Amino acid sequence: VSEQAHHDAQRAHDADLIRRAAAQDQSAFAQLYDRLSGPLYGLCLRVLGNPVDAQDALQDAMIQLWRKAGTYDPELSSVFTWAVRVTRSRAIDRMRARARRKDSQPLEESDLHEQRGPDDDASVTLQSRESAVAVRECLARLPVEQRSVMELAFYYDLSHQEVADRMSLPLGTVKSRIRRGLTQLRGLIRATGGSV
Amino acid sequence: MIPNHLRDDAALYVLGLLHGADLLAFESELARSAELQSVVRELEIGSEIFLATELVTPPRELRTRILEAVSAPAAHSDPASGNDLETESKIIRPEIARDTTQRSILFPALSALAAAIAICFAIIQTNALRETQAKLAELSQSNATQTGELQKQVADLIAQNEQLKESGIDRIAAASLAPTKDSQIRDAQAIVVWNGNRGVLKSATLPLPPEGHDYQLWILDANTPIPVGVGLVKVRNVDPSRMEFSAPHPMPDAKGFAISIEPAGGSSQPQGPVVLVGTL
Repeated sequence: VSEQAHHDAQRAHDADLIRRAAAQDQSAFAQLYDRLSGPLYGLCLRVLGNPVDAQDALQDAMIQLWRKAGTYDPELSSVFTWAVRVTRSRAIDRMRARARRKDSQPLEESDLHEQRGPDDDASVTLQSRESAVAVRECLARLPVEQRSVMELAFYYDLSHQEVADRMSLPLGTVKSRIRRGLTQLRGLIRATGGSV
Repeated sequence: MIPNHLRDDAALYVLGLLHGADLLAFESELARSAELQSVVRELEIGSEIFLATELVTPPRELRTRILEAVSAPAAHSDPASGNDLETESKIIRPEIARDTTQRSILFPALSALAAAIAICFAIIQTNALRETQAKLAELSQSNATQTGELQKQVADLIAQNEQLKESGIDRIAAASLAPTKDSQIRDAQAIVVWNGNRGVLKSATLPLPPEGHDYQLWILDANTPIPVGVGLVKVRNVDPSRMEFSAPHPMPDAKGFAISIEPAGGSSQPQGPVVLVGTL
Protein backbone atom coordinates (compact mmCIF):
# COMPACT_ATOMS: atom_id res chain seq x y z
CA VAL A 1 0.00 0.00 0.00
CA SER A 2 2.78 2.38 0.92
CA GLU A 3 4.53 1.66 -2.36
CA GLN A 4 1.36 2.48 -4.28
CA ALA A 5 0.88 5.59 -2.17
CA HIS A 6 4.46 6.64 -2.85
CA HIS A 7 3.91 6.12 -6.55
CA ASP A 8 0.62 8.00 -6.53
CA ALA A 9 2.22 10.92 -4.70
CA GLN A 10 5.09 11.00 -7.20
CA ARG A 11 2.62 10.81 -10.04
CA ALA A 12 0.61 13.74 -8.67
CA HIS A 13 3.77 15.76 -8.13
CA ASP A 14 4.94 15.10 -11.71
CA ALA A 15 1.52 16.06 -13.04
CA ASP A 16 1.69 19.31 -11.12
CA LEU A 17 5.14 20.03 -12.53
CA ILE A 18 4.04 19.41 -16.12
CA ARG A 19 0.94 21.55 -15.58
CA ARG A 20 3.17 24.38 -14.39
CA ALA A 21 5.56 23.78 -17.29
CA ALA A 22 2.60 24.13 -19.65
CA ALA A 23 2.12 27.57 -18.13
CA GLN A 24 5.76 28.37 -19.04
CA ASP A 25 7.13 27.81 -15.54
CA GLN A 26 10.78 27.04 -16.26
CA SER A 27 11.67 26.19 -12.67
CA ALA A 28 8.99 23.49 -12.68
CA PHE A 29 10.41 22.15 -15.93
CA ALA A 30 13.89 22.14 -14.39
CA GLN A 31 12.56 20.02 -11.51
CA LEU A 32 10.96 17.69 -13.99
CA TYR A 33 14.25 17.39 -15.86
CA ASP A 34 16.03 16.50 -12.63
CA ARG A 35 13.42 13.86 -11.87
CA LEU A 36 13.31 12.24 -15.33
CA SER A 37 16.66 12.81 -16.98
CA GLY A 38 18.47 9.86 -15.34
CA PRO A 39 16.26 7.06 -16.65
CA LEU A 40 15.55 8.86 -19.92
CA TYR A 41 19.24 9.44 -20.63
CA GLY A 42 19.93 5.81 -19.75
CA LEU A 43 17.24 4.82 -22.23
CA CYS A 44 18.81 6.98 -24.97
CA LEU A 45 22.27 5.57 -24.24
CA ARG A 46 21.01 2.03 -24.40
CA VAL A 47 19.22 2.61 -27.71
CA LEU A 48 21.88 4.72 -29.40
CA GLY A 49 25.06 3.43 -27.81
CA ASN A 50 27.01 6.66 -27.66
CA PRO A 51 26.79 9.72 -25.43
CA VAL A 52 26.74 12.34 -28.20
CA ASP A 53 23.68 10.90 -29.92
CA ALA A 54 22.07 10.11 -26.57
CA GLN A 55 22.44 13.70 -25.39
CA ASP A 56 21.00 15.03 -28.65
CA ALA A 57 18.06 12.62 -28.41
CA LEU A 58 17.40 13.59 -24.80
CA GLN A 59 17.54 17.26 -25.73
CA ASP A 60 15.04 16.71 -28.58
CA ALA A 61 12.74 14.82 -26.25
CA MET A 62 12.88 17.33 -23.40
CA ILE A 63 12.18 20.23 -25.73
CA GLN A 64 9.23 18.30 -27.15
CA LEU A 65 7.95 17.68 -23.63
CA TRP A 66 8.23 21.41 -22.91
CA ARG A 67 6.40 22.39 -26.08
CA LYS A 68 3.69 19.73 -25.72
CA ALA A 69 3.24 19.99 -21.96
CA GLY A 70 -0.26 21.41 -22.46
CA THR A 71 -1.40 18.26 -24.25
CA TYR A 72 -0.49 15.89 -21.42
CA ASP A 73 -3.57 14.03 -20.17
CA PRO A 74 -3.23 12.82 -16.56
CA GLU A 75 -6.16 10.44 -16.98
CA LEU A 76 -4.29 8.34 -19.51
CA SER A 77 -0.84 7.87 -18.03
CA SER A 78 1.77 9.17 -15.66
CA VAL A 79 4.14 11.90 -16.81
CA PHE A 80 6.91 9.32 -16.61
CA THR A 81 5.14 6.98 -19.03
CA TRP A 82 4.39 9.87 -21.37
CA ALA A 83 8.00 11.04 -21.24
CA VAL A 84 9.31 7.53 -21.89
CA ARG A 85 7.09 7.26 -24.96
CA VAL A 86 8.33 10.59 -26.33
CA THR A 87 11.99 9.88 -25.55
CA ARG A 88 12.03 6.35 -26.94
CA SER A 89 10.45 7.65 -30.11
CA ARG A 90 13.12 10.37 -30.47
CA ALA A 91 15.91 7.90 -29.81
CA ILE A 92 14.54 5.35 -32.30
CA ASP A 93 14.12 8.09 -34.93
CA ARG A 94 17.73 9.09 -34.43
CA MET A 95 18.88 5.48 -34.61
CA ARG A 96 17.01 4.97 -37.88
CA ALA A 97 18.49 8.15 -39.36
CA ARG A 98 21.94 7.07 -38.33
CA ALA A 99 21.44 3.61 -39.79
CA ARG A 100 20.42 5.18 -43.07
CA ARG A 101 23.60 7.22 -43.12
CA LYS A 102 25.41 3.90 -42.82
CA ASP A 103 27.67 5.19 -40.10
CA SER A 104 25.95 3.23 -37.39
CA GLN A 105 28.31 1.47 -35.07
CA PRO A 106 27.14 -1.77 -33.50
CA LEU A 107 26.49 -1.47 -29.83
CA GLU A 108 29.46 -2.88 -27.96
CA GLU A 109 28.59 -4.16 -24.56
CA SER A 110 31.96 -3.04 -23.21
CA ASP A 111 31.41 0.51 -24.50
CA LEU A 112 28.05 0.57 -22.88
CA HIS A 113 29.42 -0.34 -19.50
CA GLU A 114 31.99 2.39 -19.98
CA GLN A 115 29.30 4.95 -20.74
CA ARG A 116 27.04 3.79 -17.97
CA GLY A 117 28.01 3.82 -14.38
CA PRO A 118 26.44 6.47 -12.25
CA ASP A 119 29.42 5.88 -10.00
CA ASP A 120 31.50 7.93 -12.40
CA ASP A 121 29.42 10.99 -11.69
CA ALA A 122 29.95 12.62 -8.37
CA SER A 123 26.55 14.25 -8.50
CA VAL A 124 24.77 10.92 -8.20
CA THR A 125 23.61 10.42 -4.66
CA LEU A 126 24.36 7.34 -2.63
CA GLN A 127 20.66 6.63 -2.43
CA SER A 128 20.17 6.63 -6.19
CA ARG A 129 23.28 4.47 -6.58
CA GLU A 130 21.85 1.94 -4.14
CA SER A 131 18.48 2.07 -5.87
CA ALA A 132 20.10 1.46 -9.24
CA VAL A 133 21.97 -1.54 -7.87
CA ALA A 134 18.79 -2.89 -6.29
CA VAL A 135 16.70 -2.60 -9.44
CA ARG A 136 19.46 -4.12 -11.59
CA GLU A 137 19.54 -7.05 -9.23
CA CYS A 138 15.77 -7.36 -9.60
CA LEU A 139 16.03 -7.32 -13.37
CA ALA A 140 18.75 -9.95 -13.21
CA ARG A 141 16.42 -12.16 -11.18
CA LEU A 142 13.76 -12.13 -13.87
CA PRO A 143 13.64 -15.32 -15.95
CA VAL A 144 15.95 -14.77 -18.90
CA GLU A 145 13.19 -15.39 -21.44
CA GLN A 146 11.13 -12.56 -19.95
CA ARG A 147 14.05 -10.18 -19.70
CA SER A 148 15.12 -10.87 -23.28
CA VAL A 149 11.65 -10.21 -24.66
CA MET A 150 11.36 -6.93 -22.75
CA GLU A 151 14.78 -5.72 -23.81
CA LEU A 152 14.34 -6.72 -27.45
CA ALA A 153 10.96 -5.02 -27.66
CA PHE A 154 11.96 -1.87 -25.85
CA TYR A 155 15.54 -1.06 -26.76
CA TYR A 156 15.64 -2.31 -30.32
CA ASP A 157 13.66 -1.09 -33.26
CA LEU A 158 11.71 -4.32 -33.61
CA SER A 159 7.98 -4.80 -33.96
CA HIS A 160 6.27 -7.28 -31.65
CA GLN A 161 6.02 -9.66 -34.59
CA GLU A 162 9.76 -9.33 -35.27
CA VAL A 163 10.50 -10.09 -31.63
CA ALA A 164 8.19 -13.12 -31.86
CA ASP A 165 9.91 -14.30 -35.02
CA ARG A 166 13.38 -13.80 -33.59
CA MET A 167 12.53 -15.77 -30.46
CA SER A 168 10.34 -18.31 -32.24
CA LEU A 169 7.40 -17.47 -30.04
CA PRO A 170 3.72 -16.81 -30.75
CA LEU A 171 2.91 -13.08 -30.81
CA GLY A 172 0.57 -13.42 -27.84
CA THR A 173 3.34 -14.98 -25.77
CA VAL A 174 5.63 -12.04 -26.46
CA LYS A 175 3.00 -9.61 -25.19
CA SER A 176 2.13 -11.65 -22.13
CA ARG A 177 5.81 -12.06 -21.22
CA ILE A 178 6.27 -8.30 -21.30
CA ARG A 179 3.30 -7.89 -18.96
CA ARG A 180 4.45 -10.62 -16.61
CA GLY A 181 7.95 -9.11 -16.61
CA LEU A 182 6.65 -5.73 -15.49
CA THR A 183 4.42 -7.32 -12.87
CA GLN A 184 7.25 -9.45 -11.51
CA LEU A 185 9.63 -6.50 -11.39
CA ARG A 186 7.18 -4.74 -9.16
CA GLY A 187 6.88 -7.81 -6.97
CA LEU A 188 10.65 -8.22 -6.73
CA ILE A 189 11.29 -4.62 -5.76
CA ARG A 190 8.53 -4.89 -3.20
CA ALA A 191 10.15 -8.02 -1.77
CA THR A 192 13.42 -6.17 -1.33
CA GLY A 193 11.57 -3.39 0.47
CA GLY A 194 12.83 -0.88 -2.07
CA SER A 195 11.18 1.70 -4.24
CA VAL A 196 12.07 3.48 -7.42
CA MET B 1 -12.72 -7.98 -15.12
CA ILE B 2 -10.11 -6.84 -17.58
CA PRO B 3 -9.42 -9.46 -20.27
CA ASN B 4 -5.84 -10.65 -20.64
CA HIS B 5 -5.33 -9.15 -24.07
CA LEU B 6 -6.13 -5.70 -22.65
CA ARG B 7 -3.75 -6.30 -19.75
CA ASP B 8 -1.07 -7.23 -22.29
CA ASP B 9 -1.80 -4.06 -24.22
CA ALA B 10 -1.56 -2.10 -20.97
CA ALA B 11 1.99 -3.39 -20.50
CA LEU B 12 2.90 -2.37 -24.05
CA TYR B 13 1.25 1.01 -23.46
CA VAL B 14 3.28 1.90 -20.39
CA LEU B 15 6.48 1.04 -22.28
CA GLY B 16 5.42 3.18 -25.26
CA LEU B 17 5.14 0.15 -27.54
CA LEU B 18 1.61 0.72 -28.80
CA HIS B 19 1.21 2.76 -31.96
CA GLY B 20 -1.37 3.96 -34.47
CA ALA B 21 -4.81 2.41 -34.33
CA ASP B 22 -3.82 0.11 -31.47
CA LEU B 23 -2.84 3.13 -29.38
CA LEU B 24 -6.03 5.01 -30.25
CA ALA B 25 -8.22 2.04 -29.42
CA PHE B 26 -6.43 1.39 -26.14
CA GLU B 27 -6.59 5.01 -24.99
CA SER B 28 -10.26 5.09 -25.86
CA GLU B 29 -10.83 2.06 -23.63
CA LEU B 30 -8.55 3.47 -20.96
CA ALA B 31 -10.44 6.76 -20.77
CA ARG B 32 -13.67 5.02 -19.86
CA SER B 33 -12.46 2.18 -17.65
CA ALA B 34 -11.34 2.95 -14.11
CA GLU B 35 -10.33 -0.67 -13.72
CA LEU B 36 -8.02 -0.47 -16.72
CA GLN B 37 -6.57 2.79 -15.38
CA SER B 38 -5.76 0.92 -12.20
CA VAL B 39 -4.01 -1.83 -14.18
CA VAL B 40 -1.98 0.80 -16.03
CA ARG B 41 -0.94 2.44 -12.77
CA GLU B 42 0.29 -0.85 -11.37
CA LEU B 43 2.24 -1.64 -14.52
CA GLU B 44 3.74 1.85 -14.54
CA ILE B 45 5.56 0.94 -11.35
CA GLY B 46 7.12 -2.03 -13.15
CA SER B 47 7.99 0.22 -16.06
CA GLU B 48 9.75 2.70 -13.79
CA ILE B 49 11.75 -0.13 -12.26
CA PHE B 50 12.65 -1.45 -15.70
CA LEU B 51 13.87 1.99 -16.79
CA ALA B 52 15.67 2.59 -13.51
CA THR B 53 18.01 -0.29 -14.33
CA GLU B 54 19.54 1.93 -16.99
CA LEU B 55 19.66 5.08 -14.89
CA VAL B 56 22.62 7.26 -15.91
CA THR B 57 23.08 10.86 -14.87
CA PRO B 58 23.57 13.00 -17.98
CA PRO B 59 26.35 15.60 -18.07
CA ARG B 60 25.66 18.80 -16.18
CA GLU B 61 26.13 20.94 -19.29
CA LEU B 62 23.26 19.13 -21.03
CA ARG B 63 20.90 20.36 -18.32
CA THR B 64 22.11 23.91 -18.90
CA ARG B 65 21.78 23.52 -22.67
CA ILE B 66 18.22 22.22 -22.47
CA LEU B 67 17.04 24.80 -19.97
CA GLU B 68 18.55 27.57 -22.09
CA ALA B 69 16.79 26.16 -25.14
CA VAL B 70 13.39 26.21 -23.46
CA SER B 71 13.93 29.71 -22.12
CA ALA B 72 14.43 30.92 -25.71
CA PRO B 73 11.68 29.09 -27.61
CA ALA B 74 12.26 31.00 -30.84
CA ALA B 75 15.07 28.91 -32.22
CA HIS B 76 17.77 30.76 -34.07
CA SER B 77 17.90 29.66 -37.64
CA ASP B 78 21.30 28.86 -39.00
CA PRO B 79 22.45 31.34 -41.59
CA ALA B 80 23.46 29.84 -44.91
CA SER B 81 27.08 30.60 -44.28
CA GLY B 82 28.28 28.47 -47.15
CA ASN B 83 26.63 30.76 -49.62
CA ASP B 84 28.00 33.90 -48.08
CA LEU B 85 31.54 33.23 -49.19
CA GLU B 86 30.43 32.51 -52.72
CA THR B 87 28.29 35.65 -52.90
CA GLU B 88 31.01 37.74 -51.40
CA SER B 89 33.57 36.45 -53.86
CA LYS B 90 31.23 37.17 -56.74
CA ILE B 91 30.74 40.75 -55.58
CA ILE B 92 34.40 41.46 -55.01
CA ARG B 93 35.95 39.71 -57.94
CA PRO B 94 34.64 41.83 -60.84
CA GLU B 95 35.84 45.00 -59.16
CA ILE B 96 39.28 43.56 -58.60
CA ALA B 97 39.42 42.30 -62.18
CA ARG B 98 38.35 45.67 -63.59
CA ASP B 99 40.82 47.49 -61.36
CA THR B 100 43.58 45.10 -62.38
CA THR B 101 42.94 45.71 -66.06
CA GLN B 102 43.16 49.50 -65.66
CA ARG B 103 46.25 49.43 -63.52
CA SER B 104 48.01 46.86 -65.68
CA ILE B 105 48.19 49.41 -68.50
CA LEU B 106 49.78 52.08 -66.32
CA PHE B 107 51.75 50.12 -63.74
CA PRO B 108 53.10 46.73 -64.89
CA ALA B 109 54.43 45.82 -61.43
CA LEU B 110 51.09 46.54 -59.81
CA SER B 111 49.47 44.65 -62.63
CA ALA B 112 51.47 41.56 -61.74
CA LEU B 113 50.50 41.95 -58.09
CA ALA B 114 46.89 42.36 -59.01
CA ALA B 115 47.10 39.28 -61.19
CA ALA B 116 48.49 37.36 -58.23
CA ILE B 117 45.63 38.61 -56.09
CA ALA B 118 43.20 37.60 -58.82
CA ILE B 119 44.73 34.11 -58.83
CA CYS B 120 44.31 33.94 -55.05
CA PHE B 121 40.67 34.87 -55.40
CA ALA B 122 40.32 32.31 -58.16
CA ILE B 123 41.73 29.68 -55.80
CA ILE B 124 39.39 30.83 -53.06
CA GLN B 125 36.49 30.67 -55.47
CA THR B 126 37.53 27.21 -56.60
CA ASN B 127 37.65 26.05 -53.01
CA ALA B 128 34.26 27.61 -52.37
CA LEU B 129 32.97 25.87 -55.46
CA ARG B 130 34.32 22.55 -54.21
CA GLU B 131 32.69 23.12 -50.84
CA THR B 132 29.42 23.94 -52.54
CA GLN B 133 29.67 20.80 -54.66
CA ALA B 134 30.39 18.74 -51.56
CA LYS B 135 27.36 20.25 -49.84
CA LEU B 136 25.23 19.54 -52.91
CA ALA B 137 26.41 15.93 -52.87
CA GLU B 138 25.58 15.74 -49.17
CA LEU B 139 22.13 17.22 -49.80
CA SER B 140 21.58 14.79 -52.61
CA GLN B 141 22.46 11.90 -50.31
CA SER B 142 20.21 13.32 -47.64
CA ASN B 143 17.33 13.58 -50.14
CA ALA B 144 17.86 9.98 -51.14
CA THR B 145 17.79 9.03 -47.48
CA GLN B 146 14.58 10.98 -46.90
CA THR B 147 13.01 9.38 -49.96
CA GLY B 148 13.88 5.97 -48.56
CA GLU B 149 12.36 6.94 -45.23
CA LEU B 150 9.16 8.13 -46.91
CA GLN B 151 8.93 4.91 -48.89
CA LYS B 152 9.29 2.93 -45.66
CA GLN B 153 6.60 5.08 -44.00
CA VAL B 154 4.26 4.49 -46.95
CA ALA B 155 4.90 0.74 -46.71
CA ASP B 156 4.20 0.89 -42.96
CA LEU B 157 0.99 2.83 -43.55
CA ILE B 158 -0.15 0.32 -46.14
CA ALA B 159 0.57 -2.49 -43.69
CA GLN B 160 -1.29 -0.64 -40.91
CA ASN B 161 -4.21 -0.06 -43.25
CA GLU B 162 -4.39 -3.77 -43.99
CA GLN B 163 -4.37 -4.48 -40.27
CA LEU B 164 -7.14 -1.94 -39.75
CA LYS B 165 -9.23 -3.59 -42.44
CA GLU B 166 -8.69 -6.97 -40.83
CA SER B 167 -9.67 -5.64 -37.43
CA GLY B 168 -12.86 -4.10 -38.82
CA ILE B 169 -12.14 -0.60 -37.58
CA ASP B 170 -11.34 0.91 -40.94
CA ARG B 171 -14.44 3.06 -40.76
CA ILE B 172 -12.61 5.78 -38.89
CA ALA B 173 -13.78 9.20 -40.04
CA ALA B 174 -13.39 12.72 -38.78
CA ALA B 175 -15.76 15.67 -38.50
CA SER B 176 -14.70 19.26 -38.05
CA LEU B 177 -17.12 21.17 -35.85
CA ALA B 178 -17.53 24.88 -36.55
CA PRO B 179 -19.71 27.59 -34.99
CA THR B 180 -23.30 27.74 -36.22
CA LYS B 181 -24.64 30.91 -37.81
CA ASP B 182 -26.23 32.05 -34.55
CA SER B 183 -23.57 30.62 -32.28
CA GLN B 184 -22.70 32.59 -29.19
CA ILE B 185 -19.09 31.62 -29.62
CA ARG B 186 -17.39 32.53 -32.85
CA ASP B 187 -13.81 31.39 -32.51
CA ALA B 188 -14.17 27.86 -31.15
CA GLN B 189 -13.28 24.75 -33.11
CA ALA B 190 -13.50 21.04 -32.44
CA ILE B 191 -12.72 17.79 -34.18
CA VAL B 192 -14.36 14.42 -33.69
CA VAL B 193 -12.67 11.18 -34.74
CA TRP B 194 -15.29 8.46 -35.01
CA ASN B 195 -15.35 4.75 -35.85
CA GLY B 196 -19.09 4.09 -35.88
CA ASN B 197 -19.19 3.14 -32.23
CA ARG B 198 -16.66 5.20 -30.29
CA GLY B 199 -15.07 8.55 -30.78
CA VAL B 200 -12.68 11.16 -29.51
CA LEU B 201 -13.53 14.85 -29.34
CA LYS B 202 -10.78 17.43 -29.27
CA SER B 203 -11.81 21.02 -28.85
CA ALA B 204 -9.73 24.15 -28.84
CA THR B 205 -10.50 27.65 -27.55
CA LEU B 206 -13.87 26.62 -26.18
CA PRO B 207 -14.74 29.26 -23.55
CA LEU B 208 -16.25 28.38 -20.19
CA PRO B 209 -20.01 27.77 -20.52
CA PRO B 210 -22.43 30.27 -18.92
CA GLU B 211 -22.89 29.78 -15.19
CA GLY B 212 -25.25 26.91 -14.39
CA HIS B 213 -24.75 25.35 -17.81
CA ASP B 214 -22.60 22.71 -19.48
CA TYR B 215 -21.61 21.92 -23.03
CA GLN B 216 -23.11 18.65 -24.23
CA LEU B 217 -22.04 16.57 -27.23
CA TRP B 218 -24.65 14.98 -29.50
CA ILE B 219 -24.51 12.43 -32.30
CA LEU B 220 -26.67 13.28 -35.31
CA ASP B 221 -27.87 10.01 -36.79
CA ALA B 222 -30.11 9.40 -39.79
CA ASN B 223 -31.86 6.50 -38.05
CA THR B 224 -32.58 8.29 -34.79
CA PRO B 225 -35.24 11.06 -34.73
CA ILE B 226 -33.56 13.06 -31.99
CA PRO B 227 -29.84 13.61 -31.43
CA VAL B 228 -28.19 11.15 -29.08
CA GLY B 229 -26.40 12.71 -26.12
CA VAL B 230 -22.99 11.19 -25.41
CA GLY B 231 -21.68 13.29 -22.57
CA LEU B 232 -20.73 16.64 -21.20
CA VAL B 233 -17.73 18.43 -22.66
CA LYS B 234 -15.49 19.56 -19.85
CA VAL B 235 -13.60 22.76 -20.59
CA ARG B 236 -10.12 22.54 -19.17
CA ASN B 237 -7.65 25.27 -18.44
CA VAL B 238 -5.15 23.77 -20.81
CA ASP B 239 -6.36 23.44 -24.35
CA PRO B 240 -7.14 21.40 -26.27
CA SER B 241 -9.79 19.61 -24.23
CA ARG B 242 -10.07 15.93 -25.00
CA MET B 243 -13.06 13.69 -24.49
CA GLU B 244 -13.55 10.03 -25.25
CA PHE B 245 -17.14 8.92 -25.79
CA SER B 246 -19.17 5.92 -26.88
CA ALA B 247 -22.52 5.62 -28.57
CA PRO B 248 -25.17 3.72 -26.58
CA HIS B 249 -25.33 1.32 -29.54
CA PRO B 250 -23.42 1.03 -32.84
CA MET B 251 -24.29 3.97 -35.10
CA PRO B 252 -22.67 3.29 -38.46
CA ASP B 253 -24.96 5.83 -40.16
CA ALA B 254 -24.07 8.78 -37.94
CA LYS B 255 -24.05 11.93 -40.05
CA GLY B 256 -22.33 14.35 -37.72
CA PHE B 257 -21.96 15.86 -34.29
CA ALA B 258 -23.11 18.94 -32.46
CA ILE B 259 -22.32 20.70 -29.20
CA SER B 260 -25.02 22.66 -27.42
CA ILE B 261 -25.28 24.63 -24.21
CA GLU B 262 -27.50 22.78 -21.75
CA PRO B 263 -28.52 23.22 -18.13
CA ALA B 264 -25.81 21.97 -15.75
CA GLY B 265 -25.67 18.17 -15.82
CA GLY B 266 -26.99 17.92 -19.38
CA SER B 267 -30.32 17.11 -20.99
CA SER B 268 -31.92 14.00 -22.40
CA GLN B 269 -32.47 15.85 -25.66
CA PRO B 270 -31.11 19.19 -26.88
CA GLN B 271 -32.81 22.20 -25.32
CA GLY B 272 -30.23 24.95 -25.45
CA PRO B 273 -28.59 26.67 -28.38
CA VAL B 274 -26.28 24.64 -30.61
CA VAL B 275 -22.90 26.35 -30.74
CA LEU B 276 -20.81 23.96 -32.83
CA VAL B 277 -21.84 21.52 -35.54
CA GLY B 278 -20.08 19.42 -38.15
CA THR B 279 -20.77 16.52 -40.49
CA LEU B 280 -18.76 13.41 -41.25
